[in-house]
Amino acid sequence: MAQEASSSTSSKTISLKTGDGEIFEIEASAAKQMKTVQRLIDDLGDDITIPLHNVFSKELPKIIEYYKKDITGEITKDFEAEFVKDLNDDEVKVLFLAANYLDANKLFEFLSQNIADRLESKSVEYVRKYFGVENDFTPEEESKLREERAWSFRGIKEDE
Amino acid sequence: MTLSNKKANCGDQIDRISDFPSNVIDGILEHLNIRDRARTSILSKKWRYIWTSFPRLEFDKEFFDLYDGDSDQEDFVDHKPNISRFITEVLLLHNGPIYKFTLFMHRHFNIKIEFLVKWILFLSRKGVKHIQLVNNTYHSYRMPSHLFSCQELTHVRIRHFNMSVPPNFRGFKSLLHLHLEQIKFELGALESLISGCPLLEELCILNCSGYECVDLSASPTLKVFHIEYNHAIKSICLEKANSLIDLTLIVYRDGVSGLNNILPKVQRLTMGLDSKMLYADVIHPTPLICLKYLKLSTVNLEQREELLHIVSVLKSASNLVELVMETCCDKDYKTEVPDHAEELDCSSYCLNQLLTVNIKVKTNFKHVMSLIRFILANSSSLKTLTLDIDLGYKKSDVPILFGISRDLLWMERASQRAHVEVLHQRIDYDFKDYRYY
Repeated sequence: MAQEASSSTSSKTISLKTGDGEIFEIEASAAKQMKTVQRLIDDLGDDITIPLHNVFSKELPKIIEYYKKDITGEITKDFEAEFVKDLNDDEVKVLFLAANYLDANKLFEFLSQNIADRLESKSVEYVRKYFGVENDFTPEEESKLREERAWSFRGIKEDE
Repeated sequence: MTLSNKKANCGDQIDRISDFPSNVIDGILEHLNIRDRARTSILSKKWRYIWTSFPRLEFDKEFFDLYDGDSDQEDFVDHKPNISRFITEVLLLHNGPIYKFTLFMHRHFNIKIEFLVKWILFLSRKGVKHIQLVNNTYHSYRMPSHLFSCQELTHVRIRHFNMSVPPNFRGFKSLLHLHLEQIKFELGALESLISGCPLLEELCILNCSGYECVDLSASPTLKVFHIEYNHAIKSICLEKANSLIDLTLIVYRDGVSGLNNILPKVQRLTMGLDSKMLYADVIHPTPLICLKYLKLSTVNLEQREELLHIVSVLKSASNLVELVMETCCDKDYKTEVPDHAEELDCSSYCLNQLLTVNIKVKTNFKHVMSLIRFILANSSSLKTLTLDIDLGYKKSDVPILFGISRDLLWMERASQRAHVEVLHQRIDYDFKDYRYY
């Protein structure tokens, strides 16, 4: 398992196969940042194409792009702002869930902050839709809760 | 936290359309403000109490700003007392430990002391580790004594309170950071506080009163010490502060002892002196081998020994990376002064690590030019040198600035990539009028 000398990980690439069958390459040092991938490498060896059932070809390239920058230490606030600039709320969500699945901590932290920023002062209905949460309150229960939390409804933005 | 922190493992089939897994929820809640978090209680039955076990409560300036100055909100008739009620309600609903509590007491909101006392009592039973109480109102409050029962505190930041330490105070055994600003201490309170914190790593005492001496012998673990004080303070004893690596001293009188013993280990130093004092009297010749960042305010380069002394300080700081200097003087800029350039020439290539220099000067910049010549000739790695000139309201700025820029251009530079910039700022304003490269 850990037979390879650690120096070999610096230039080795790992093949990743997405849930929809596409293959992407990443550097072994970037793979180390994704704990799920690293665990799979430890179990299956680094010569095999690592299957990632829950990550798809739409989001994996973006994740790889992030970690490419990370290993060269180039992640700046500007880079991060640019990274999410053109993504809509759903795209960020998908990326975020993928980062969670891959156990990619740095990206997870960054995206959770970004999602929180996007959800700031959004209506309850919007957030329900976003998280896929079904409202199981009765109308009376809900209006009572809203009244109790009236103070937290300051500055709520209109839904688009 | 009552939520589990299970990480998703490889075999999980995550249905993207349904609810997020719990650690994902935690991750997002972490970054929401208190209002957004409180509203998650209305999402669904499952979500109703999730927010109540979140261990951080922050009622910061943004929180209060939102309720400030509104006259159009009907639900907030005489809204000011209600803010205290909301905070109390949030605290009472809370379930589990509270690790971090922040309260910014906004100028336009009158929070009665009785509420503050009850909140701190409540927090003392919730294992609070990190407390920030910033009183931005016009009157100071008495610090509730329950604060001293918060045995798990690691970080304390308080501003604008009157403080006395209860006689049964057993110390904050885990306290690492103590930040005190505009605190009026009862006699002996500061000393009891400091000596009760054996693990203290960072101590800031800014514009506080009611104490005469600070003795750091009780704080062998202290790494960072910032103090800004006035004439009332008689002595500051740094003698035993052997772990100190970051020191800020805005000094107004003699009475600092042990400074030169500890300077060889200091990595960041910021100093400011009273106008009658000179650095030549305060910093003795010592090898400042650990110094990476140096900021000296109130440097009076008019005095020749001071200029030479500053140069010798720079020569001894061979690992310096960043230098900031603010000079002062009160002479008219037309006064002619001899040029000291020859004496400052140094061919031993000191200042090899220096990357950034920022010098602020008022009317008398000629002495500064000698210093800059010395710096440019000796810093082989220099990236940026910025000269910030404030000539006040003089009309004939432009020819002076041209002269300065021309002189700077002609100076010999040890670093080919050094970028030298001249900024001209008016007093009281921060906008830049002219810029020369």
